[in-house]
Amino acid sequence: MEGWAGKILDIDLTSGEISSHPLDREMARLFLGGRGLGARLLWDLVGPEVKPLSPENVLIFATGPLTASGVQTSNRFSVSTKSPLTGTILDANSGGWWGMRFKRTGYDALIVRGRAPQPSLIEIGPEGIAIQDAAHLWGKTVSETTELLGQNNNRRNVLCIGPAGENLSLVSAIMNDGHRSLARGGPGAVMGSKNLKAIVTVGTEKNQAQNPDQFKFMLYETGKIIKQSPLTSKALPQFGTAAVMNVVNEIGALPTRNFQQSQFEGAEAISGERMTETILVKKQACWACPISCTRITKTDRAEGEGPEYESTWAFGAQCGIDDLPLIAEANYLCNDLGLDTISVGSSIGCAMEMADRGLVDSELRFGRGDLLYETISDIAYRRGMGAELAEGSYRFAAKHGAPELSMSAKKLELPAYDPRGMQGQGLLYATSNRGGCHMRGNMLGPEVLALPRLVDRLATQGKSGIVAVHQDTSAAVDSLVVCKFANMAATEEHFARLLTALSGLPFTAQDLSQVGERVWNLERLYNLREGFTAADDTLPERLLTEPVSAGPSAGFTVKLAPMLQEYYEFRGWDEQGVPLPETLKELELDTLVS
Amino acid sequence: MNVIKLFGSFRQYSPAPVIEASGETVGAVLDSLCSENPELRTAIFEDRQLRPHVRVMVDGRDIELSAGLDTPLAAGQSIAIFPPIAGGSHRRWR
Repeated sequence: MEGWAGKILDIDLTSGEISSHPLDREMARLFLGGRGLGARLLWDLVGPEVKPLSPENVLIFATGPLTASGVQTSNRFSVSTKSPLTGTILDANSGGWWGMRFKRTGYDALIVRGRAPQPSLIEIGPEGIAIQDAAHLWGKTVSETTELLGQNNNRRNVLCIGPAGENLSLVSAIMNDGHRSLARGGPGAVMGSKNLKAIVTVGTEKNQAQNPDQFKFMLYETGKIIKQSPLTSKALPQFGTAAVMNVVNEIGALPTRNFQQSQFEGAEAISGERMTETILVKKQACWACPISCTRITKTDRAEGEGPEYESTWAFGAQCGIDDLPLIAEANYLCNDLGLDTISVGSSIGCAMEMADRGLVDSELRFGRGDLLYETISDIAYRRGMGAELAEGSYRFAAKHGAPELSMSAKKLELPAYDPRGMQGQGLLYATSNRGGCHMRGNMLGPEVLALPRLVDRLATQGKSGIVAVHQDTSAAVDSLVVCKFANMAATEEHFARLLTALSGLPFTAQDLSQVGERVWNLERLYNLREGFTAADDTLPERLLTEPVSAGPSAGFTVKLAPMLQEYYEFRGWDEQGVPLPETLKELELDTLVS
Repeated sequence: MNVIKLFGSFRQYSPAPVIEASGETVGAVLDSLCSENPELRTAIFEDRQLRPHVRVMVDGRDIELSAGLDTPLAAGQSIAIFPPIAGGSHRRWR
């Protein structure tokens, strides 16, 4: 194995057939792996006639050429599918150990098709590949399942769903290694719809470099730059991802009480600084990661992993709650039940506003942290109003006559940045191919942290190009696959040279950028084929028409329309957001649509 | 009088995360703040300029978009000082 293993494992749960076929080398060159490879395979396998929770939908677990190579943060992998929450193309990616372990079984990707006749699990190891009965695991939580299947980071790693995925919650995650999640867009429900409880991997094959000396040198260089960056060497290890809570609040871009305000008076109480002072037990790292952003925390009642910034915001500012231990426990519970913390927290915040306005009959109110635990549990088990919230905030709000109160884009709940205070972030949310998301590029860098240089967060002109470049970079990073935090220190040049040394094939930074642009355009084509149009590139009405009432972003709405037209033009798309033939030709995508 | 808020690792150099100081410009206030705190001065400044990626905001607006350390201050405005929490990348924009 020199970058790519060269094989794709293909399992049909309906028939029980297990097969393997070679990885198309040209496809690997054009799309690398992870998210890119997943999108390309999905294009062929899942057309517009396929319903997301039907047996015809597939799950594609994909690693990238850097996975398991020892490159810093090369532990990551992705799952691609058609999202049951958004109806768009979806990929979610995760760290930990499972991705590395799967790659070491000798495959680049795993395609799961069909629906098992009864609860099942897949085991992939040196003794072979088997579909096994998992009736005894159905109903178990993530921690119970992971333990029962013998999770051991040194040799055996478990990926599974919790009760939320079994109950087909559209905000359910797939979990790996106990606490890591492939969260957004409801991939847990797709796995649940296939009666697939878990996938266990036991792999030992090495991903060794074609050019070991060059590879070793580039590993050293990349490690050095990660060690020199204040973000990756100091802020993230010391305060975790919640290091940005106070910054985002200070500029007036911290969505508060379902985006009704953009500053939270309790921000300090839920900040990374406060977490470090109070509930932090220790920091932890994924496989081959020198950054260690993971928080192991402990409250009076429980202990677990996290919460990260987005989860802290979702159960904190979004719900008007400033009780950090309660927020941490809500996060532990979501992990154990297999839920997406962003969508769950945002949906609860939406319900709180709707209850405030008398649109639903519920005790939920902003600040009612005492109801958090029970509400999350109800969502996973589809009890009472939880059954409605399990469909995500858009369907919930629409059912009660107020879809505009769902703070989502393409039905995916927005994360922890109010775009009225970060205009480029608004464009990024509106154009994200999997719906409102901060992992498809993030304008926090240029609009707030001056990375690589500062631009005016409240300006709109010229933002489209910056947004597009960040989106393309994210797609390339997600296809290698490495962690976006590593990419905040190391550059595309580093990764291109690492990939060249590993695979023996020449890659430049420009090649990687073009892969990113290709993946972005393919995802766009997929969504267009599903019936999405330019009209879907939008944001909740509140963000477009209700100015921020107070604070440093007061008076601002998102001025989306001019940014969007500039963006389409920059991308080489027509006025309706459809890629032009010459754009597709340049990206070698023209044969897919001809 | 102006409120100065220190965040992240800068707090270890200060008896409190929020302190008061006054001055006509951001630079003057920071100078006053650091006059009896050499460790904080070293953490914030390098050759009398802000260290790379130290962010200073006045009422939520980054001073880099105003007049930098010469940004004038009115009484009651708050200054937020963040340690480097990002940096090192040389990503190119086209």
